[in-house]
Amino acid sequence: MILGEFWRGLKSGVVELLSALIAAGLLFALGDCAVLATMNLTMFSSELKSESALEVFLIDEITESGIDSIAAYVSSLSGVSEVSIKDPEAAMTEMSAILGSDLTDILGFNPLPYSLEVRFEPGSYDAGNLNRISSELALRDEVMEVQYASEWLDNLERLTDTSVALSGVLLALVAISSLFIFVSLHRHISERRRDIVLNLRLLGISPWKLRTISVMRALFVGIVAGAVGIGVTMLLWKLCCEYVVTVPFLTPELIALVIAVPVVLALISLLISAGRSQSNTFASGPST
Amino acid sequence: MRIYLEVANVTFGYHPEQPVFSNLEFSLPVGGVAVVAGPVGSGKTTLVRLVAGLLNPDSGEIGVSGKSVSEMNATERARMLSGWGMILERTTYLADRSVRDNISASVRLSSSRIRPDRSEVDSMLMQFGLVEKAGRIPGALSKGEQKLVQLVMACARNPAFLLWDDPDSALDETHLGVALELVRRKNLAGTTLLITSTRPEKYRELGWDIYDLPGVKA
Repeated sequence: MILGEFWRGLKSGVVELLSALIAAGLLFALGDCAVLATMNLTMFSSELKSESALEVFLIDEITESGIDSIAAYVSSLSGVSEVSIKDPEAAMTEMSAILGSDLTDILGFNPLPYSLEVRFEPGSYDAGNLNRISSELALRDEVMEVQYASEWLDNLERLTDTSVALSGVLLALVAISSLFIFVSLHRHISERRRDIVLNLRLLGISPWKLRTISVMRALFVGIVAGAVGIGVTMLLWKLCCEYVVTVPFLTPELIALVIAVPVVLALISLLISAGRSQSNTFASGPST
Repeated sequence: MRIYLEVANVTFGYHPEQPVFSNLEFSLPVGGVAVVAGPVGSGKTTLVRLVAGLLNPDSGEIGVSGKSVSEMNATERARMLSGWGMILERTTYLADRSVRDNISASVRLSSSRIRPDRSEVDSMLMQFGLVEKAGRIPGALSKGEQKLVQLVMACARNPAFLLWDDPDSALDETHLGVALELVRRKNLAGTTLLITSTRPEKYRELGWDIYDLPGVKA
């Protein structure tokens, strides 16, 4: 009888297990996409900024001491991490490499002035800071022109802010919907269990037999869920890692934990159903 | 005469200010039959639930073979129910099992030493035209057929006590007649019967005692 019940319970157990896994998987995928998209964008933006520099073109008549003076001044500005002096020849070599031909040969002279390449500390390469530095430098006599990618910087910042806001909203939605899914899943499983348990009780099953069946079933769901959950998680992780930047806090253990949550809920609901007294099953409503 | 079921001074209400019964009292001897009759809302199903231990009375006692149902522990209650056959308002079959498996599980969980063989079960199913449907799950049958499956499940257990809540609600006249004949034969073989009904005339024809709710008196 007990073994028979156990094996017959497998079918519905597997369905419960799969529903829990699918629900958890979908939610995880949604939340994961939102977090990964934002993190990738933030990391991309941060990398781009760390590679970006502000160019300060100096006047043609500048002396060596003037160059050193302005370089020292720029180095002292807040957020500046590195200042390198670029002489006209080096600048021309760089430009010729980009253009594919030597401008000096065409023009007969090198029109490029001395310039400073200014790099910033992480977090300081933002539109506000650059505008401020640019305004300050424009007042200096040694400076002819200041260049930086202000337009794309503004766009990138707007895009990043929008993405953070959207993923925040998405995560909130995921949290709310996951709560509803888990609660309804728990209620569904619990009600099904309660129905079966009550019917077995009305047929006169002994309490120890009922407990044995419930515990065996719960053990089965737990063991299989654990194995399948971890297996699926590892597989997904392996597949995902090919395409996304590895995010350190999203470990396989954490994903397994996410999948384990509904499984634990299913197990709790099994135990709650098994532990309910039969008298309170009917206590909710009169039907005379 | 030994008393099987004794309802003594039972008061019960789903809400404290609105009791369904007050001081309900009747008794049923071993091998006896009681048909409790009353209109809709008179408390028939509540009485069945109280007798089965699915509800506890607010006051008074329900005794089975001299033992108070409300004082029984889970094991004693399970032992009591394993000797009973019940056809309740709610379905008491295992939804994912076939009709034949349900009958088989019902018999295996019974405390009765007399186990029917397959031909006896088939004979009961045949009376109701259910042999061909024995491989289906009960949920695939009509409400009336589900009640008949529950009746076969109950009778196949050779119960000491058969509790049937409102047989006339789901069955047509023909099937009700066949079902009552099956139940009558069980009673003749020693099963004590408690039936509730809104239309007691048919039971009076069988010579069974009718008790009216409210104010049941044996």
